[in-house]
Amino acid sequence: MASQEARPWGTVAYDVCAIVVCIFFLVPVLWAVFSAFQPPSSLFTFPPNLDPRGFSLENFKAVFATGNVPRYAVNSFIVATASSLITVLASAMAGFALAKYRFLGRQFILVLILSVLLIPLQVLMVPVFLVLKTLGWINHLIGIIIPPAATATGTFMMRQYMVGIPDELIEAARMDGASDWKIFWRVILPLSAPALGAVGILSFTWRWNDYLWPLIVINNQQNFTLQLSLANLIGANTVEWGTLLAYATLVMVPVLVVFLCFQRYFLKGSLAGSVKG
Amino acid sequence: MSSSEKTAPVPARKAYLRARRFPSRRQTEFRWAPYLFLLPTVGMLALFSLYPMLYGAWMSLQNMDVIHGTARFVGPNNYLRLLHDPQFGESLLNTAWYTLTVVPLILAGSIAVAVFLRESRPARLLARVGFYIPFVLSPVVVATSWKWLLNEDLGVIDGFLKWAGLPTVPWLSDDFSARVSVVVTTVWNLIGFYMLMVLAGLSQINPELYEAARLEGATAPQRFWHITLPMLRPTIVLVLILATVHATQAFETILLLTGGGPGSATRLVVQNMYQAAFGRLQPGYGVAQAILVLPFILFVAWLQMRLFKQEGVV
Repeated sequence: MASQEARPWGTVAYDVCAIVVCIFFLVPVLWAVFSAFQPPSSLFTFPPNLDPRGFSLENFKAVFATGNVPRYAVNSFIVATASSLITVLASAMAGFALAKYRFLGRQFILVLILSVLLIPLQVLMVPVFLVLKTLGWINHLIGIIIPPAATATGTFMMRQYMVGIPDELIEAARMDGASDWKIFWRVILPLSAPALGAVGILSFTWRWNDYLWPLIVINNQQNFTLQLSLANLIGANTVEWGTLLAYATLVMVPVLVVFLCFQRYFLKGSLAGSVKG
Repeated sequence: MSSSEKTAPVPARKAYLRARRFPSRRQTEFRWAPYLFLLPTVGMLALFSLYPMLYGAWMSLQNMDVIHGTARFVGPNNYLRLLHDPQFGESLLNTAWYTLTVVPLILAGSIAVAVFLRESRPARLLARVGFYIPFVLSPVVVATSWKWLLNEDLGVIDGFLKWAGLPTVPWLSDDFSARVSVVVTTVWNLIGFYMLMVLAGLSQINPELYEAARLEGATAPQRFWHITLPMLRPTIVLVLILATVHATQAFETILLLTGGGPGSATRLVVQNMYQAAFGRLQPGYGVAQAILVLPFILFVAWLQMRLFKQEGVV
Protein backbone atom coordinates (compact mmCIF):
# COMPACT_ATOMS: atom_id res chain seq x y z
CA MET A 1 0.00 0.00 0.00
CA ALA A 2 3.06 2.20 -0.16
CA SER A 3 3.32 4.56 -3.10
CA GLN A 4 3.61 2.60 -6.29
CA GLU A 5 5.37 4.71 -8.87
CA ALA A 6 6.15 2.20 -11.55
CA ARG A 7 3.60 -0.57 -11.69
CA PRO A 8 5.46 -3.86 -11.90
CA TRP A 9 4.01 -6.68 -13.98
CA GLY A 10 3.12 -8.54 -10.82
CA THR A 11 0.63 -5.82 -9.87
CA VAL A 12 -0.93 -5.81 -13.30
CA ALA A 13 -1.32 -9.57 -13.19
CA TYR A 14 -2.91 -9.20 -9.77
CA ASP A 15 -5.37 -6.60 -11.11
CA VAL A 16 -6.29 -8.80 -14.05
CA CYS A 17 -6.75 -11.77 -11.76
CA ALA A 18 -8.99 -9.79 -9.40
CA ILE A 19 -11.06 -8.48 -12.29
CA VAL A 20 -11.52 -12.01 -13.61
CA VAL A 21 -12.79 -13.05 -10.17
CA CYS A 22 -15.36 -10.24 -10.27
CA ILE A 23 -16.61 -11.21 -13.69
CA PHE A 24 -16.68 -14.91 -12.92
CA PHE A 25 -18.78 -14.14 -9.87
CA LEU A 26 -21.48 -12.66 -12.09
CA VAL A 27 -21.65 -15.65 -14.42
CA PRO A 28 -25.00 -16.96 -13.07
CA VAL A 29 -26.80 -13.71 -14.05
CA LEU A 30 -24.80 -13.09 -17.18
CA TRP A 31 -25.51 -16.61 -18.35
CA ALA A 32 -29.25 -16.16 -17.81
CA VAL A 33 -29.25 -12.90 -19.79
CA PHE A 34 -27.06 -14.44 -22.49
CA SER A 35 -29.39 -17.43 -22.82
CA ALA A 36 -32.42 -15.15 -23.05
CA PHE A 37 -31.08 -13.92 -26.40
CA GLN A 38 -30.65 -17.41 -27.83
CA PRO A 39 -33.24 -18.71 -30.29
CA PRO A 40 -35.03 -21.76 -28.84
CA SER A 41 -33.16 -23.99 -31.30
CA SER A 42 -29.73 -23.29 -29.79
CA LEU A 43 -30.79 -22.79 -26.18
CA PHE A 44 -29.64 -26.16 -24.97
CA THR A 45 -26.53 -26.73 -27.06
CA PHE A 46 -23.11 -27.08 -25.52
CA PRO A 47 -20.64 -25.53 -26.33
CA PRO A 48 -22.99 -22.53 -26.51
CA ASN A 49 -23.53 -20.36 -29.55
CA LEU A 50 -21.36 -17.29 -29.09
CA ASP A 51 -21.96 -15.80 -32.52
CA PRO A 52 -24.02 -12.60 -32.10
CA ARG A 53 -25.54 -13.15 -35.56
CA GLY A 54 -27.32 -16.15 -34.08
CA PHE A 55 -28.99 -14.10 -31.33
CA SER A 56 -32.71 -13.46 -31.46
CA LEU A 57 -35.45 -11.55 -29.67
CA GLU A 58 -37.95 -14.36 -30.08
CA ASN A 59 -38.00 -15.13 -26.36
CA PHE A 60 -38.80 -11.53 -25.49
CA LYS A 61 -41.75 -11.56 -27.85
CA ALA A 62 -42.95 -14.76 -26.22
CA VAL A 63 -42.94 -13.07 -22.81
CA PHE A 64 -45.80 -10.82 -23.81
CA ALA A 65 -47.91 -13.81 -24.82
CA THR A 66 -47.80 -15.25 -21.29
CA GLY A 67 -50.24 -12.73 -19.84
CA ASN A 68 -50.98 -9.06 -19.52
CA VAL A 69 -47.35 -8.15 -18.92
CA PRO A 70 -47.71 -4.35 -19.41
CA ARG A 71 -50.42 -4.40 -16.75
CA TYR A 72 -48.14 -6.27 -14.31
CA ALA A 73 -45.39 -3.77 -15.04
CA VAL A 74 -47.72 -0.86 -14.24
CA ASN A 75 -48.79 -2.61 -11.02
CA SER A 76 -45.18 -3.17 -10.00
CA PHE A 77 -44.40 0.43 -10.74
CA ILE A 78 -47.38 1.78 -8.77
CA VAL A 79 -46.57 -0.41 -5.78
CA ALA A 80 -42.85 0.39 -5.69
CA THR A 81 -43.37 4.13 -6.16
CA ALA A 82 -46.28 4.58 -3.75
CA SER A 83 -44.73 2.42 -1.07
CA SER A 84 -41.36 4.12 -1.18
CA LEU A 85 -42.95 7.59 -1.10
CA ILE A 86 -44.76 6.56 2.07
CA THR A 87 -41.56 5.10 3.49
CA VAL A 88 -39.63 8.30 2.76
CA LEU A 89 -42.22 10.62 4.28
CA ALA A 90 -42.98 8.48 7.33
CA SER A 91 -39.35 7.79 8.15
CA ALA A 92 -38.39 11.44 7.59
CA MET A 93 -41.08 12.52 10.05
CA ALA A 94 -40.12 9.88 12.60
CA GLY A 95 -36.43 10.59 12.08
CA PHE A 96 -37.01 14.31 12.66
CA ALA A 97 -38.92 13.69 15.89
CA LEU A 98 -36.26 11.31 17.17
CA ALA A 99 -33.34 13.51 16.15
CA LYS A 100 -34.52 16.98 17.12
CA TYR A 101 -37.04 16.77 19.95
CA ARG A 102 -36.73 15.90 23.57
CA PHE A 103 -39.92 14.35 24.80
CA LEU A 104 -41.20 11.83 27.25
CA GLY A 105 -40.64 8.30 25.93
CA ARG A 106 -38.18 9.25 23.20
CA GLN A 107 -35.66 6.57 24.06
CA PHE A 108 -38.42 4.01 24.49
CA ILE A 109 -39.93 4.76 21.09
CA LEU A 110 -36.54 4.67 19.38
CA VAL A 111 -35.77 1.25 20.81
CA LEU A 112 -39.30 0.08 20.04
CA ILE A 113 -39.10 1.17 16.42
CA LEU A 114 -35.69 -0.32 15.77
CA SER A 115 -36.31 -3.62 17.51
CA VAL A 116 -39.90 -4.28 16.44
CA LEU A 117 -39.22 -3.40 12.85
CA LEU A 118 -36.35 -5.86 12.84
CA ILE A 119 -38.87 -8.66 13.25
CA PRO A 120 -39.28 -9.91 9.73
CA LEU A 121 -42.63 -10.01 7.97
CA GLN A 122 -41.95 -13.69 7.35
CA VAL A 123 -42.53 -14.55 10.97
CA LEU A 124 -45.69 -12.48 11.26
CA MET A 125 -47.16 -13.30 7.87
CA VAL A 126 -50.18 -15.21 9.15
CA PRO A 127 -51.56 -12.65 11.63
CA VAL A 128 -50.69 -9.76 9.30
CA PHE A 129 -52.63 -11.54 6.57
CA LEU A 130 -55.64 -11.68 8.87
CA VAL A 131 -55.26 -7.98 9.72
CA LEU A 132 -55.30 -7.20 5.99
CA LYS A 133 -58.35 -9.40 5.59
CA THR A 134 -60.17 -7.42 8.26
CA LEU A 135 -59.19 -4.20 6.53
CA GLY A 136 -60.44 -5.59 3.23
CA TRP A 137 -57.04 -5.11 1.61
CA ILE A 138 -56.60 -8.66 0.31
CA ASN A 139 -56.31 -8.68 -3.46
CA HIS A 140 -55.81 -4.93 -3.58
CA LEU A 141 -52.54 -3.22 -4.36
CA ILE A 142 -52.84 -1.19 -1.16
CA GLY A 143 -52.35 -4.46 0.72
CA ILE A 144 -48.80 -4.71 -0.64
CA ILE A 145 -48.10 -0.97 -0.49
CA ILE A 146 -48.74 -0.09 3.14
CA PRO A 147 -47.66 -3.05 5.35
CA PRO A 148 -43.98 -3.08 4.34
CA ALA A 149 -43.70 0.73 4.27
CA ALA A 150 -42.51 1.25 7.85
CA THR A 151 -38.87 0.19 7.88
CA ALA A 152 -36.27 0.27 10.63
CA THR A 153 -33.57 1.06 8.08
CA GLY A 154 -35.42 4.10 6.76
CA THR A 155 -36.16 5.56 10.19
CA PHE A 156 -32.64 4.83 11.31
CA MET A 157 -30.95 6.41 8.26
CA MET A 158 -33.13 9.54 8.42
CA ARG A 159 -32.50 10.01 12.12
CA GLN A 160 -28.75 9.60 11.71
CA TYR A 161 -28.69 12.19 8.97
CA MET A 162 -30.91 14.73 10.75
CA VAL A 163 -28.90 14.61 13.96
CA GLY A 164 -26.21 16.39 11.95
CA ILE A 165 -28.44 19.34 10.96
CA PRO A 166 -27.54 22.31 13.19
CA ASP A 167 -30.15 23.21 15.80
CA GLU A 168 -29.52 26.90 15.13
CA LEU A 169 -31.43 26.63 11.86
CA ILE A 170 -34.47 25.24 13.65
CA GLU A 171 -34.22 27.84 16.40
CA ALA A 172 -33.97 30.63 13.85
CA ALA A 173 -37.05 29.38 12.01
CA ARG A 174 -38.90 29.13 15.29
CA MET A 175 -37.98 32.73 16.17
CA ASP A 176 -39.56 33.71 12.88
CA GLY A 177 -42.74 32.09 14.08
CA ALA A 178 -42.66 28.97 11.91
CA SER A 179 -44.81 26.08 13.07
CA ASP A 180 -43.29 22.65 13.72
CA TRP A 181 -44.69 21.31 10.47
CA LYS A 182 -43.38 24.29 8.53
CA ILE A 183 -39.95 23.81 10.05
CA PHE A 184 -40.03 20.17 9.01
CA TRP A 185 -41.32 20.90 5.53
CA ARG A 186 -39.34 24.04 4.69
CA VAL A 187 -36.12 23.61 6.65
CA ILE A 188 -35.49 19.98 7.46
CA LEU A 189 -36.71 18.23 4.32
CA PRO A 190 -34.71 20.34 1.84
CA LEU A 191 -31.57 19.89 3.95
CA SER A 192 -32.08 16.13 4.11
CA ALA A 193 -32.27 15.60 0.35
CA PRO A 194 -29.37 13.13 0.21
CA ALA A 195 -30.85 10.93 2.95
CA LEU A 196 -34.32 11.17 1.41
CA GLY A 197 -32.85 10.04 -1.89
CA ALA A 198 -31.01 7.15 -0.32
CA VAL A 199 -34.06 5.87 1.57
CA GLY A 200 -36.29 6.35 -1.47
CA ILE A 201 -33.99 4.49 -3.82
CA LEU A 202 -33.38 1.62 -1.43
CA SER A 203 -37.06 1.15 -0.73
CA PHE A 204 -37.97 1.41 -4.40
CA THR A 205 -35.75 -1.58 -5.15
CA TRP A 206 -37.03 -3.52 -2.12
CA ARG A 207 -40.64 -3.03 -3.11
CA TRP A 208 -39.95 -3.73 -6.79
CA ASN A 209 -38.32 -7.00 -5.75
CA ASP A 210 -40.94 -8.06 -3.21
CA TYR A 211 -42.25 -11.54 -3.74
CA LEU A 212 -43.47 -13.01 -0.46
CA TRP A 213 -45.96 -10.28 0.30
CA PRO A 214 -47.64 -10.17 -3.14
CA LEU A 215 -47.70 -13.98 -3.08
CA ILE A 216 -49.81 -13.96 0.06
CA VAL A 217 -51.98 -10.92 -0.63
CA ILE A 218 -52.68 -11.00 -4.37
CA ASN A 219 -54.63 -13.81 -6.00
CA ASN A 220 -56.27 -12.34 -9.06
CA GLN A 221 -54.23 -11.93 -12.23
CA GLN A 222 -55.40 -8.33 -12.65
CA ASN A 223 -53.30 -7.20 -9.70
CA PHE A 224 -50.23 -9.36 -10.29
CA THR A 225 -46.85 -7.73 -10.06
CA LEU A 226 -44.04 -8.69 -12.44
CA GLN A 227 -42.31 -10.77 -9.76
CA LEU A 228 -45.48 -12.67 -9.04
CA SER A 229 -46.25 -13.50 -12.65
CA LEU A 230 -42.66 -14.56 -13.31
CA ALA A 231 -42.74 -16.79 -10.23
CA ASN A 232 -45.97 -18.35 -11.47
CA LEU A 233 -44.23 -19.25 -14.74
CA ILE A 234 -41.41 -20.95 -12.83
CA GLY A 235 -43.95 -23.12 -11.11
CA ALA A 236 -45.84 -23.93 -14.33
CA ASN A 237 -45.98 -27.53 -15.48
CA THR A 238 -44.22 -26.96 -18.77
CA VAL A 239 -41.28 -24.64 -18.40
CA GLU A 240 -40.37 -22.60 -21.47
CA TRP A 241 -36.84 -21.75 -20.49
CA GLY A 242 -36.27 -19.17 -23.19
CA THR A 243 -39.37 -17.20 -22.21
CA LEU A 244 -38.62 -17.50 -18.52
CA LEU A 245 -35.09 -16.15 -18.91
CA ALA A 246 -36.21 -13.29 -21.16
CA TYR A 247 -38.85 -12.41 -18.57
CA ALA A 248 -36.29 -12.49 -15.77
CA THR A 249 -34.03 -10.23 -17.83
CA LEU A 250 -36.83 -7.68 -18.30
CA VAL A 251 -37.74 -7.80 -14.61
CA MET A 252 -34.19 -7.12 -13.42
CA VAL A 253 -33.55 -4.19 -15.77
CA PRO A 254 -35.19 -1.39 -13.70
CA VAL A 255 -33.44 -2.44 -10.51
CA LEU A 256 -30.08 -2.72 -12.26
CA VAL A 257 -30.50 0.72 -13.81
CA VAL A 258 -31.41 2.27 -10.46
CA PHE A 259 -28.52 0.48 -8.79
CA LEU A 260 -25.93 1.48 -11.38
CA CYS A 261 -27.06 5.13 -11.32
CA PHE A 262 -27.23 5.47 -7.56
CA GLN A 263 -24.59 3.02 -6.48
CA ARG A 264 -23.25 5.06 -3.58
CA TYR A 265 -26.64 5.10 -1.85
CA PHE A 266 -26.62 1.32 -1.70
CA LEU A 267 -23.22 1.42 -0.11
CA LYS A 268 -24.59 3.82 2.49
CA GLY A 269 -27.47 1.46 3.15
CA SER A 270 -25.19 -1.47 3.70
CA LEU A 271 -23.02 0.52 6.08
CA ALA A 272 -26.13 1.35 8.09
CA GLY A 273 -26.35 -2.39 8.56
CA SER A 274 -29.63 -2.71 6.77
CA VAL A 275 -31.10 -6.07 6.12
CA LYS A 276 -33.55 -5.87 3.24
CA GLY A 277 -36.42 -3.97 4.81
CA MET B 1 -32.66 13.07 31.21
CA SER B 2 -29.38 14.33 32.62
CA SER B 3 -27.30 11.54 31.12
CA SER B 4 -28.62 12.20 27.63
CA GLU B 5 -27.79 15.88 28.02
CA LYS B 6 -24.21 14.97 28.63
CA THR B 7 -23.99 12.90 25.48
CA ALA B 8 -25.90 15.33 23.27
CA PRO B 9 -23.86 16.66 20.34
CA VAL B 10 -22.35 20.09 20.86
CA PRO B 11 -24.80 22.21 18.83
CA ALA B 12 -27.76 20.54 20.53
CA ARG B 13 -26.22 21.23 23.92
CA LYS B 14 -25.62 24.86 23.04
CA ALA B 15 -29.21 25.29 21.96
CA TYR B 16 -30.39 23.60 25.08
CA LEU B 17 -28.32 25.85 27.31
CA ARG B 18 -29.51 28.90 25.46
CA ALA B 19 -33.08 27.75 25.82
CA ARG B 20 -32.51 27.42 29.55
CA ARG B 21 -31.13 30.92 29.79
CA PHE B 22 -34.03 32.41 27.88
CA PRO B 23 -36.80 29.95 28.53
CA SER B 24 -39.29 30.42 25.74
CA ARG B 25 -42.80 29.29 26.41
CA ARG B 26 -42.60 26.58 23.77
CA GLN B 27 -39.51 24.98 25.16
CA THR B 28 -41.02 24.22 28.56
CA GLU B 29 -44.54 23.34 27.54
CA PHE B 30 -45.62 19.84 26.70
CA ARG B 31 -45.57 19.56 22.95
CA TRP B 32 -47.61 17.39 20.68
CA ALA B 33 -45.40 17.86 17.63
CA PRO B 34 -42.92 14.99 18.12
CA TYR B 35 -45.74 12.55 18.82
CA LEU B 36 -47.59 13.64 15.70
CA PHE B 37 -44.43 13.25 13.63
CA LEU B 38 -44.02 9.73 14.98
CA LEU B 39 -47.63 8.82 14.38
CA PRO B 40 -47.37 7.35 10.84
CA THR B 41 -44.41 5.10 11.64
CA VAL B 42 -45.67 4.03 15.05
CA GLY B 43 -49.17 3.54 13.63
CA MET B 44 -47.93 1.21 10.90
CA LEU B 45 -45.72 -0.53 13.40
CA ALA B 46 -48.63 -1.06 15.77
CA LEU B 47 -50.95 -2.30 13.05
CA PHE B 48 -48.53 -4.52 11.15
CA SER B 49 -46.07 -5.67 13.82
CA LEU B 50 -47.17 -5.22 17.42
CA TYR B 51 -50.83 -6.12 17.08
CA PRO B 52 -50.09 -9.10 14.79
CA MET B 53 -47.57 -10.36 17.33
CA LEU B 54 -50.13 -10.31 20.15
CA TYR B 55 -52.92 -11.53 17.92
CA GLY B 56 -50.62 -14.30 16.68
CA ALA B 57 -49.98 -15.43 20.24
CA TRP B 58 -53.74 -15.61 20.77
CA MET B 59 -54.26 -17.38 17.43
CA SER B 60 -51.74 -20.03 18.31
CA LEU B 61 -54.05 -21.15 21.11
CA GLN B 62 -56.88 -21.82 18.72
CA ASN B 63 -57.87 -24.06 15.89
CA MET B 64 -59.19 -21.78 13.23
CA ASP B 65 -61.49 -22.81 10.45
CA VAL B 66 -60.55 -20.43 7.67
CA ILE B 67 -63.40 -21.38 5.39
CA HIS B 68 -66.21 -20.92 7.90
CA GLY B 69 -64.44 -18.19 9.83
CA THR B 70 -64.85 -19.94 13.15
CA ALA B 71 -62.27 -20.60 15.84
CA ARG B 72 -62.13 -23.02 18.72
CA PHE B 73 -59.95 -22.46 21.76
CA VAL B 74 -57.61 -25.40 22.18
CA GLY B 75 -55.10 -24.07 24.70
CA PRO B 76 -51.55 -25.32 24.25
CA ASN B 77 -52.60 -28.09 21.85
CA ASN B 78 -50.88 -26.56 18.83
CA TYR B 79 -47.60 -26.39 20.73
CA LEU B 80 -47.93 -29.93 22.05
CA ARG B 81 -48.62 -31.08 18.53
CA LEU B 82 -45.45 -29.35 17.33
CA LEU B 83 -43.35 -31.34 19.77
CA HIS B 84 -44.43 -34.53 18.06
CA ASP B 85 -44.44 -33.22 14.51
CA PRO B 86 -41.53 -34.79 12.62
CA GLN B 87 -41.97 -32.29 9.78
CA PHE B 88 -41.48 -29.35 12.10
CA GLY B 89 -38.49 -31.03 13.72
CA GLU B 90 -36.97 -31.68 10.32
CA SER B 91 -37.50 -28.09 9.22
CA LEU B 92 -35.79 -26.86 12.40
CA LEU B 93 -32.91 -29.20 11.72
CA ASN B 94 -32.75 -28.02 8.11
CA THR B 95 -32.71 -24.40 9.24
CA ALA B 96 -29.92 -25.27 11.68
CA TRP B 97 -27.57 -26.83 9.13
CA TYR B 98 -28.45 -24.19 6.59
CA THR B 99 -27.59 -21.37 9.03
CA LEU B 100 -24.49 -23.14 10.29
CA THR B 101 -23.10 -23.52 6.77
CA VAL B 102 -24.27 -20.25 5.24
CA VAL B 103 -23.08 -17.93 8.03
CA PRO B 104 -19.46 -19.17 8.28
CA LEU B 105 -19.19 -19.35 4.49
CA ILE B 106 -20.40 -15.77 4.17
CA LEU B 107 -18.06 -14.60 6.91
CA ALA B 108 -14.96 -16.36 5.60
CA GLY B 109 -15.85 -15.64 1.99
CA SER B 110 -16.50 -11.95 2.44
CA ILE B 111 -13.28 -11.45 4.39
CA ALA B 112 -11.24 -13.45 1.87
CA VAL B 113 -12.67 -11.62 -1.12
CA ALA B 114 -12.35 -8.22 0.53
CA VAL B 115 -8.73 -8.80 1.56
CA PHE B 116 -7.94 -10.11 -1.91
CA LEU B 117 -9.64 -7.24 -3.73
CA ARG B 118 -8.34 -4.52 -1.44
CA GLU B 119 -4.90 -4.66 -2.97
CA SER B 120 -6.16 -3.94 -6.47
CA ARG B 121 -7.72 -0.55 -7.09
CA PRO B 122 -9.46 -1.34 -10.40
CA ALA B 123 -10.80 -4.61 -9.01
CA ARG B 124 -12.00 -2.89 -5.87
CA LEU B 125 -13.95 -0.36 -7.88
CA LEU B 126 -15.37 -3.10 -10.10
CA ALA B 127 -16.20 -5.31 -7.12
CA ARG B 128 -18.18 -2.55 -5.42
CA VAL B 129 -20.62 -2.88 -8.29
CA GLY B 130 -20.19 -6.48 -9.42
CA PHE B 131 -20.37 -8.24 -6.08
CA TYR B 132 -23.34 -6.18 -4.98
CA ILE B 133 -25.47 -6.93 -8.04
CA PRO B 134 -26.77 -10.31 -6.80
CA PHE B 135 -27.91 -8.61 -3.61
CA VAL B 136 -30.12 -6.14 -5.47
CA LEU B 137 -31.74 -8.82 -7.63
CA SER B 138 -35.12 -10.13 -6.54
CA PRO B 139 -35.47 -13.65 -5.11
CA VAL B 140 -37.51 -14.56 -8.18
CA VAL B 141 -34.73 -13.50 -10.56
CA VAL B 142 -32.04 -15.20 -8.46
CA ALA B 143 -34.02 -18.43 -8.37
CA THR B 144 -34.67 -18.31 -12.13
CA SER B 145 -31.00 -17.76 -12.96
CA TRP B 146 -29.79 -20.55 -10.70
CA LYS B 147 -32.49 -22.96 -11.72
CA TRP B 148 -31.35 -22.49 -15.29
CA LEU B 149 -27.69 -22.84 -14.41
CA LEU B 150 -28.25 -25.97 -12.33
CA ASN B 151 -30.88 -27.53 -14.55
CA GLU B 152 -30.45 -31.26 -14.83
CA ASP B 153 -29.27 -32.22 -18.33
CA LEU B 154 -30.34 -28.91 -19.91
CA GLY B 155 -28.27 -26.60 -17.69
CA VAL B 156 -24.85 -25.32 -18.62
CA ILE B 157 -23.00 -27.04 -15.76
CA ASP B 158 -24.34 -30.44 -16.62
CA GLY B 159 -23.88 -29.56 -20.29
CA PHE B 160 -20.22 -28.91 -19.63
CA LEU B 161 -19.84 -32.13 -17.62
CA LYS B 162 -21.42 -34.12 -20.43
CA TRP B 163 -19.22 -32.42 -23.01
CA ALA B 164 -16.14 -33.24 -20.92
CA GLY B 165 -17.27 -36.86 -20.70
CA LEU B 166 -17.97 -36.69 -16.95
CA PRO B 167 -21.09 -37.95 -15.16
CA THR B 168 -23.76 -35.27 -14.68
CA VAL B 169 -24.98 -34.17 -11.25
CA PRO B 170 -28.70 -34.02 -10.34
CA TRP B 171 -28.24 -30.61 -8.74
CA LEU B 172 -31.76 -30.06 -7.50
CA SER B 173 -33.22 -33.56 -7.28
CA ASP B 174 -30.82 -35.33 -4.94
CA ASP B 175 -30.95 -34.56 -1.18
CA PHE B 176 -27.32 -33.71 -0.72
CA SER B 177 -26.72 -31.82 -3.96
CA ALA B 178 -29.96 -29.87 -3.48
CA ARG B 179 -28.71 -28.74 -0.08
CA VAL B 180 -25.38 -27.75 -1.57
CA SER B 181 -27.16 -25.85 -4.37
CA VAL B 182 -29.35 -23.99 -1.90
CA VAL B 183 -26.37 -22.98 0.24
CA VAL B 184 -24.27 -21.91 -2.74
CA THR B 185 -27.12 -19.84 -4.16
CA THR B 186 -27.67 -18.10 -0.83
CA VAL B 187 -24.00 -17.32 -0.31
CA TRP B 188 -23.76 -15.98 -3.86
CA ASN B 189 -26.86 -13.88 -3.29
CA LEU B 190 -25.75 -12.25 -0.04
CA ILE B 191 -21.96 -12.16 -0.01
CA GLY B 192 -21.57 -8.86 -1.86
CA PHE B 193 -23.45 -6.97 0.84
CA TYR B 194 -21.16 -8.36 3.53
CA MET B 195 -18.05 -7.92 1.44
CA LEU B 196 -18.77 -4.20 1.20
CA MET B 197 -19.12 -4.06 4.96
CA VAL B 198 -15.77 -5.80 5.37
CA LEU B 199 -14.15 -3.49 2.81
CA ALA B 200 -15.40 -0.53 4.81
CA GLY B 201 -14.06 -2.12 7.99
CA LEU B 202 -10.67 -2.71 6.34
CA SER B 203 -10.43 0.91 5.27
CA GLN B 204 -10.75 1.93 8.92
CA ILE B 205 -7.56 0.10 9.87
CA ASN B 206 -4.63 2.44 10.32
CA PRO B 207 -2.06 1.66 7.57
CA GLU B 208 0.74 2.54 9.99
CA LEU B 209 0.02 -0.70 11.83
CA TYR B 210 0.91 -2.62 8.69
CA GLU B 211 4.00 -0.49 8.09
CA ALA B 212 5.23 -1.11 11.63
CA ALA B 213 4.59 -4.83 11.32
CA ARG B 214 6.43 -4.96 8.02
CA LEU B 215 9.43 -3.20 9.53
CA GLU B 216 9.44 -5.79 12.28
CA GLY B 217 9.53 -8.46 9.57
CA ALA B 218 6.00 -9.84 9.96
CA THR B 219 4.90 -12.06 7.09
CA ALA B 220 1.64 -11.53 5.22
CA PRO B 221 -0.22 -14.32 7.08
CA GLN B 222 1.07 -12.95 10.39
CA ARG B 223 -0.16 -9.48 9.49
CA PHE B 224 -3.54 -10.94 8.62
CA TRP B 225 -3.93 -12.91 11.87
CA HIS B 226 -2.48 -10.31 14.19
CA ILE B 227 -3.63 -7.03 12.67
CA THR B 228 -6.43 -7.47 10.15
CA LEU B 229 -8.58 -9.96 12.05
CA PRO B 230 -8.41 -8.31 15.50
CA MET B 231 -9.03 -4.87 14.01
CA LEU B 232 -12.01 -6.22 12.07
CA ARG B 233 -13.69 -7.53 15.22
CA PRO B 234 -16.63 -5.07 15.27
CA THR B 235 -17.31 -5.73 11.58
CA ILE B 236 -17.12 -9.48 12.11
CA VAL B 237 -19.67 -9.31 14.94
CA LEU B 238 -22.02 -7.29 12.75
CA VAL B 239 -21.61 -9.72 9.85
CA LEU B 240 -22.33 -12.69 12.10
CA ILE B 241 -25.51 -11.15 13.49
CA LEU B 242 -26.89 -9.88 10.20
CA ALA B 243 -26.04 -13.08 8.32
CA THR B 244 -27.81 -15.10 11.00
CA VAL B 245 -30.87 -12.88 10.57
CA HIS B 246 -30.71 -13.39 6.82
CA ALA B 247 -30.26 -17.16 7.08
CA THR B 248 -33.03 -17.81 9.57
CA GLN B 249 -35.49 -15.83 7.45
CA ALA B 250 -34.59 -17.59 4.22
CA PHE B 251 -37.66 -18.61 2.34
CA GLU B 252 -38.53 -17.12 -1.02
CA THR B 253 -35.49 -18.08 -3.08
CA ILE B 254 -35.51 -21.64 -1.78
CA LEU B 255 -39.25 -21.99 -2.29
CA LEU B 256 -38.76 -21.14 -5.96
CA LEU B 257 -35.50 -23.04 -6.42
CA THR B 258 -36.34 -26.41 -4.87
CA GLY B 259 -39.81 -25.95 -3.41
CA GLY B 260 -38.29 -27.33 -0.20
CA GLY B 261 -37.52 -30.59 -1.95
CA PRO B 262 -36.57 -33.15 -2.96
CA GLY B 263 -39.01 -34.52 -0.40
CA SER B 264 -38.43 -32.09 2.42
CA ALA B 265 -34.63 -31.97 2.24
CA THR B 266 -34.45 -28.19 1.89
CA ARG B 267 -37.64 -27.16 3.65
CA LEU B 268 -36.78 -24.56 6.26
CA VAL B 269 -38.87 -23.35 9.16
CA VAL B 270 -40.43 -20.34 7.43
CA GLN B 271 -41.63 -22.47 4.54
CA ASN B 272 -43.02 -24.99 6.98
CA MET B 273 -45.13 -22.35 8.71
CA TYR B 274 -46.16 -20.87 5.38
CA GLN B 275 -47.42 -24.23 4.21
CA ALA B 276 -49.22 -25.01 7.45
CA ALA B 277 -51.02 -21.68 7.36
CA PHE B 278 -51.69 -21.11 3.67
CA GLY B 279 -51.35 -24.60 2.18
CA ARG B 280 -53.10 -26.77 4.75
CA LEU B 281 -55.17 -23.84 6.05
CA GLN B 282 -54.22 -24.29 9.70
CA PRO B 283 -53.22 -20.72 10.59
CA GLY B 284 -53.19 -21.39 14.34
CA TYR B 285 -50.72 -24.19 13.84
CA GLY B 286 -48.57 -22.07 11.54
CA VAL B 287 -48.47 -19.19 14.00
CA ALA B 288 -47.54 -21.52 16.86
CA GLN B 289 -44.36 -22.30 14.90
CA ALA B 290 -43.65 -18.61 14.45
CA ILE B 291 -44.14 -17.96 18.16
CA LEU B 292 -41.71 -20.75 19.01
CA VAL B 293 -39.09 -19.18 16.73
CA LEU B 294 -39.79 -15.62 17.90
CA PRO B 295 -37.61 -15.66 21.05
CA PHE B 296 -34.61 -16.47 18.88
CA ILE B 297 -35.42 -13.62 16.48
CA LEU B 298 -35.92 -11.21 19.37
CA PHE B 299 -32.61 -12.33 20.81
CA VAL B 300 -30.81 -11.53 17.57
CA ALA B 301 -32.65 -8.20 17.35
CA TRP B 302 -31.54 -7.46 20.90
CA LEU B 303 -27.93 -8.28 20.00
CA GLN B 304 -28.18 -5.86 17.12
CA MET B 305 -29.59 -3.18 19.41
CA ARG B 306 -26.64 -3.62 21.75
CA LEU B 307 -24.35 -3.12 18.80
CA PHE B 308 -26.20 0.06 17.83
CA LYS B 309 -25.81 1.20 21.42
CA GLN B 310 -22.07 0.55 21.38
CA GLU B 311 -21.76 2.67 18.29
CA GLY B 312 -23.72 5.42 19.98
CA VAL B 313 -26.66 5.21 17.62
CA VAL B 314 -29.34 4.79 20.23
